[in-house]
Formats: sequence, C-alpha cells, structure tokens
Amino acid sequence: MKLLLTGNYAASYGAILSRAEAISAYPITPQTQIVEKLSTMVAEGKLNAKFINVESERSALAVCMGASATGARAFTATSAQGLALMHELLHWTAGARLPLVLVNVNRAMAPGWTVWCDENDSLSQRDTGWMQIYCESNQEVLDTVIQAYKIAEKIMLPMMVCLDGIFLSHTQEVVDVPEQEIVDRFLPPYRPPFSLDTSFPHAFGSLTPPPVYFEFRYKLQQAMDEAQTEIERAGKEFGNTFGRDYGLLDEYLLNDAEVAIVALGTVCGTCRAAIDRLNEKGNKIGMLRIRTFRPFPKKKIIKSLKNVKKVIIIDRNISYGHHGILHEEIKSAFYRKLNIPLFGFIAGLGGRDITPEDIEQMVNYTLKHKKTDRDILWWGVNK
Amino acid sequence: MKFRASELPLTPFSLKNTISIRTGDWKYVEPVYEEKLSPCISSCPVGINITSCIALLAKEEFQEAAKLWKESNPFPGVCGRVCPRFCERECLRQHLGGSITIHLLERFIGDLDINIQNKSQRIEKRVAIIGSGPAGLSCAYHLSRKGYEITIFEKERLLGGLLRIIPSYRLPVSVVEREIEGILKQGIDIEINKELDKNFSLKELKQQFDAICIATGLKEKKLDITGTGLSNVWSGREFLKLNNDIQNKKITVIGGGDTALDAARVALRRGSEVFVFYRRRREDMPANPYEIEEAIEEGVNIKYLSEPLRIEKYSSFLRLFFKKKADENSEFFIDTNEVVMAVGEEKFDNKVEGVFLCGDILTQKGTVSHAIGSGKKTASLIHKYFFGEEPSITLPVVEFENLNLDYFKEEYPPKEEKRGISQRIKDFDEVYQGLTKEKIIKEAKRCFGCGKCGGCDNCYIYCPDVAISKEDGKYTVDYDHCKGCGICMEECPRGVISMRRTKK
Repeated sequence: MKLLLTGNYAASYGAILSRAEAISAYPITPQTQIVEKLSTMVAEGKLNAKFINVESERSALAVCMGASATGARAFTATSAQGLALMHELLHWTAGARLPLVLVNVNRAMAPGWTVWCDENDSLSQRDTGWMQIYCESNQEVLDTVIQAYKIAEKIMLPMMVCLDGIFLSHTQEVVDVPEQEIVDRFLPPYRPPFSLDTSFPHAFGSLTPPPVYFEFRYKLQQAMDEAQTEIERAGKEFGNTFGRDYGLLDEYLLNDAEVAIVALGTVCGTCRAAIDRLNEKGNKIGMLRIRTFRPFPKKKIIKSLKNVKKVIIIDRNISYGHHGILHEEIKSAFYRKLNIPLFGFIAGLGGRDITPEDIEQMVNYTLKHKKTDRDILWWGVNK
Repeated sequence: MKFRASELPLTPFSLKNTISIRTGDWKYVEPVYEEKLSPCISSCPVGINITSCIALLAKEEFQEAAKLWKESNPFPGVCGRVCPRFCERECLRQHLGGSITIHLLERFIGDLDINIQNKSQRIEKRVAIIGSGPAGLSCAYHLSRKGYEITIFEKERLLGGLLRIIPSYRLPVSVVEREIEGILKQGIDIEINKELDKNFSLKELKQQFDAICIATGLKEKKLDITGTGLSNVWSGREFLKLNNDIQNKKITVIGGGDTALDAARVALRRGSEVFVFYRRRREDMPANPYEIEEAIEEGVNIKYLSEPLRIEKYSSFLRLFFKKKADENSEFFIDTNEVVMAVGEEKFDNKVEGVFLCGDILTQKGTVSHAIGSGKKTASLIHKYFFGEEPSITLPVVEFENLNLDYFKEEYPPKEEKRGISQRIKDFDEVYQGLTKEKIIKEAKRCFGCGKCGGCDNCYIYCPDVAISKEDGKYTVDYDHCKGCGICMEECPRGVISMRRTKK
C-alpha cells in the first residue's frame, strides 16, 4: 500500500508493523508525531501494545528497558536534549544487551534553542554501545525500523535509527507500506535468550568485579563486529522480500569516480542531484553514503574509496576542538590503508540549508586544490 | 577467579536470586507495625474504639460499626447527643479542615438500634449494683456481658437516673429508653423502688451477693444563702423533674452548668421569661459552649459576674439579691416567680469499705460519658477482684507530626440540620436532626484513622528492598532484607509504623 507519509509517520508505521509491544516516550519536537501516532493507535485498539506515559525521556528509556528485559519488543523515540537525558541509560541498555529500537529524529543541541537539524545529538552518543543507522528517505526510515528489530534481536544490542529532523520528519514522501503478514514472516516474534522472570528471579547488571567486567566489554565489541554481517544479511533478506535492498553503505556512481563525497543522512539526497549536474559537465564524481555509523564499516569503506583521488566529507556536526565527526572516523579508517587527500567540510549546522549549488561549489573547490592543510573547511558560515 | 568471555552470559546476572544476600544486618533501626491510639480514643472517657468504628462506617458496614461501638458503650444514642465531645477537641483532622463530627457518627450508630449478642459463658457470681444512672447501667452491662449475674437496685420507679432529667429537645426519652432496654436484654434483674438504707441495707446485700457496686451519683449542692428553703425555690434537678407545672412565669436560674441551662431552656419552652445569673464570666461556664450559644439564641438572658446574696419573699413574687463580683457596694435585685438553683453537686467522700464505686460518686466528673466510662472501668475492677489482672498494653498516642499529610486533602465537616429558633422554642422536639446516611459515609471517609492501619499499601509499594509482604491484608517485614531506611515509616499516612533500634 502506497501512502504519502512524513518521516515521523514512516517511523510510526515501522514500529506498528514490527508489532512493538511496549512503547514509552516523552514528547519533544521534532519527534512527537511518531509516538503521538502510536499512542492513538494503542488507544483505538489498533495496536496491541502498552503505551506508558512518563515524565521524562530518561524514564521512557527506563520503562522500555524494563519491558525489553521481560521479553517484550520495546520502542521509543526522541530528539536532541531528550536523547542527551537518556545518556546514562543508553550505556545501560547496551551493557544489559537489550534489543531496543530507538528512533532519534536529529535535532541540533541547545542552546541556542532550536528545533532544526544537525547530527550532533546522536553522534555524541557514539560510544554508548548502540548501533546507529542514518536514513536518507522516509521509505528507508520505515524499512530500517523493521530491519532494526531483526538485527538487534539477533545480536542482542540496541539500535538507534536516525533521521534528519524537519528534512525527513516533517516532509512527506510516497512510502510503500508493506503488508503486515509479510512483515511478520520477515520479523518473527521476539524470543529472548534470557529474561526477567518473577518465578525464577535473578539480579541483572549486578556487581561485576575486575576479573570479569573486562570480558563483558570484549563480548560487546564482538557483538558490534558481528553486527556488520547481520546488518548486511538483514538488508539483503529485506530486499529479497520487499524488493528494496539495504546494506552497511550506499554507493552512488563510485565505480569510476575521481572524487568521492562521503556523508550521512539527507544531505546525500542533495549530493545525488549535484553529482548528476557535475557529471553532465564531464566530471567524475561519486558518493558514499555512510548508512551504518556504528558499527563503523571500515573495511567496506576502504574498499569503496580505494580508487578515488580525493575524498570530500560533509559533516553536519562537529566535535569541538577537533573537526567533523565523520571526517575523524574516515581519517582513522584510512590510517596506513589509504593515502588520499581529505577535504572535510562542515556545513548546515542547526538546520541551515545545504543546496545542490553548495555541493557543486564544494566539489569545485576540491577539484581546484591538490590537497588542504585545513582540518575544517567551514562552508557557508559568516565569519 | 578467571573466566573466558565465551563462558560468560551476554550480561552479568546473578545465578541465585538476591534473597541469599542478607542485607538486613546492615541496619541499626528497623520498622515495626505498632498500631497506636488515636487522640480521639485516648481522650474518650469510655475508651471507645472510635477509629475502627469510623473505618467500618466508611465501608458502609453499619451493623459491624454499631456492634463494635457497643462493645465499649451501650449508650451511643445518648452520648451522640449529650457528650461534651472530648474526642473532637483532640481530633487531628481539625488541622486540615475541621475535626471529625464524631458525635454525629455516634448518634447515627445509636439510632441504628442494633444490639450485640450476650457472651455465652456464665460466671457463677452475683453482683448487686445500686443506682441505675449511666454509670450503674454501664457497669451492669459490661459485667453481664462477661457472664455475671446482675441485679440493679433503683430507688425510683424508672431506670436511668439523671438521663431522665435531660430535656428531650437535647435527648429524647425514647432514645434513653431504647438503650436501657438494649442493656436489659443482656439478662439483668432489676429491683425498682428500692432505696439504699431505706428499703435494704448494705449488710443484707453482702450476704446475698459476691460483690456490690454503688453508683448512686452525687447530691445537688445547695447555696449557703438565706431564703433557699422558701417555696418556689427549686434545685435544678427538682425543676427539671416538674411536669409542665410552671408555665408563663418569670424564672431566674442561678448557675452556669448544663443543668442550669437545661432548666432555663425548658422554662423558656414553657412560655416563661428566663434569666440566668452566673458568678463568673461566660468563658468560665462549665456548660458546653454550643449549649450557651443556643440558649442565648433562643432568648435566655444570661448575666455574668453576679453572686447571689439572699432570697426574700414578697406576696406574689420572690426578690433575689445579687452583687457584682468583687464589688461589695453593687447590690442589685431581680423580682421573679420562681428561682432555680443549679450550682453543681456536693463533694463526696468516696471511701466506702467493702464495696465498689462507680460514676460521679467515684470520679465526680459530672458528665454522662465519664459515668459510662467509670461503669466500664469498675466492671473490669470487679472482674479483676474475682479472677486477677488481665494483661494489658499501653499504646502510644499518635501526634500530628506522625501523620503524612501528602496523603490527605483539606476537607470540611458536614453541616447538621438544626431547627429554626422560632420553631424549636415552641416544643420539646430535638433541636438537631443528625446526618443522612450519605453524609455519614462521606464524613467517615474524612477520618485520618490515626494510628490504625488503613491497608493503603504504601509501605508495601514503597519498600525499596521488597522486604514487606502482604497476606490477608496484613503486612510483614522481612527483617533479613530490610535495611532500615525508614521509607515505610515516612510514607505511612497514619503513623502506624514505628522505628526501633535493632538488637545487636
């Protein structure tokens, strides 16, 4: 069934089709519509789930953790300050190996107060042990939520599905909403390998002294490594079932490209248009969209980029005191593997538009320069 | 200790449940469920289990409430109307909306007219009770319920003593008779028209009975002034016993107690013009404040700080002389048809060998409630005399600080229907009308239930160590796991939980 859906409703449909059983969230723009839709569905009896109202995002995640620990499929959604408020429990969820799915609608961090997009909110939760996938379209949002449960429940790690606030959350696209029956076949009910059970009580997350703590962290990292395979496998199986393939990365015209643009999220859609125009003029530009940010698919990235001559990285985020976060990740992936000049742009913070013309100009700049010594190429800032 | 990652589960969890970890020995204080006395119970002369009864009323278990009330007090209909409400003065609800109108609940319970079954066992002991006022009847009732064989000796033709002279606009005779009847249903022998030292002697009684209780009350005090022996000069009780004989006169009452005001308001209802003279100030009057207010409302003229000097007889009237208190040169007089002296009771030397005493003769407190309470206490003394002491415990009394006000809202007492002044002074029907069932339930629900577990589950819910369990509505602390944090005590709305030092 094809519907005209915002990114937010696409996320809601993803949760509905995944048969989320426990939903808890605290409203925050631009996320609110996701759980608003879900709460309406629960209230109308169209979704067989518990919707638990809470007083903060921290409690929302705590409720979902509890529900997930009992073996329920749990869902929450948030943005920016809300995600930051969850921070402690983000660590806990991953350490407790609970396969939650959280949709984060990317919104810049305040102050100054803002509801517009950048990716600093979720990227600064990089080290909490959550998988992170960044979506480019509303269709991908819906599809990724469904895949997220499959992946999370397989390797027992939580998954954060990120979509750019306003750009995706509040704009409509035609979305193919799959049939419930087929989704059920793709995503069978959650069967937890361990769970809270009052008839056989255990203390979860109990005191873990130095002789064993380290080993648990080793296992978490192993799971992250394993996740790369599972994300690819789920994406492929999804493609076989629904006709839409997904992978760790998303290449665009990279085969004979001389310059590659690397980016996350909706800016990639803009890149596609800009690249088409540039290549019509005889340039050889390609793009690598980093769909999966955690686990970070280093080997695949190197494989994709090994033949290009220059790499442009567009970061809609910044690690203060260093440079763009994706830039940093790419640089570390390249270490001793590839020696290609990197052009790290920072653009579009706080929801400022990045237009196809901006992209073209970034490419032209790159083409004109052999390399750059600058850590940050600020794009569009009025210095 | 060394583990391979592959041997470990995904996330650390205990192999056993945490019950094996005895966190209880961390504590130095621990909670204990200790129901306490509410201020209403502790101030009640009869010791009625008021909070439990109110809890039953709130649950609409009226029969059970009435039965429990009558375990202590066979006179709820009477006390609900005439008790000076010691309980309400102490009620902690007064700090959050107003005291519970316990007297109205008691009146409601009394008017349900429910009697409790007599105890089945018999005790082969005969007890004589002399006097059938509230004290004697209460003593008879409590002993009879224990199984004693009781005989009451009453000098008058009717039982009830002073209950019978309380005017019926305050206490209808039907209520008195109904409750006396309830007491007699316990199986009590009565001997009427039998006065001590006139129709029988203590010596005779001692031969026939195993114990004797005297509950004959106190005699009325007479004023030490000239003229008290004149005709048309009455004592308070004499005047109240008169049956409609004195109408449309000018009546002067001396005194400031309940009897004085009763006499005044009765006279008023019989069409007389009434003056009350009291030697001190209004706030010093021993009568209930609401009685004073009602008397004034109805048109009784009260003069304060007036000491009586003498009564002189004139052809068709009496001249009553007073002086202003502490002013020798302030003599004044009032001319009146009748004088009523209601100035209290004579003190009595209550040391009588070989018998038990109860009521005013023992306590000299002068209220129906104290008389009933005294009857109850003497009944247990008599029981103790035969069978020895029964174990008893002293409970602490709840203080306002012990309550957790987060769980109570400010709520106000109901308004009782009261007859209009112009209506009520025309007859002897009751001034107050009591409360409807709906209002009773609402009022009962307003009770804090101080010191009495309300089964709210707060302790059970808030215990962070899950160390409180609940079975059949009763809570138990698992001391092996309670860490002594005191959250249960803090969250108990009613001060039921106390903390005690652990034994170490």
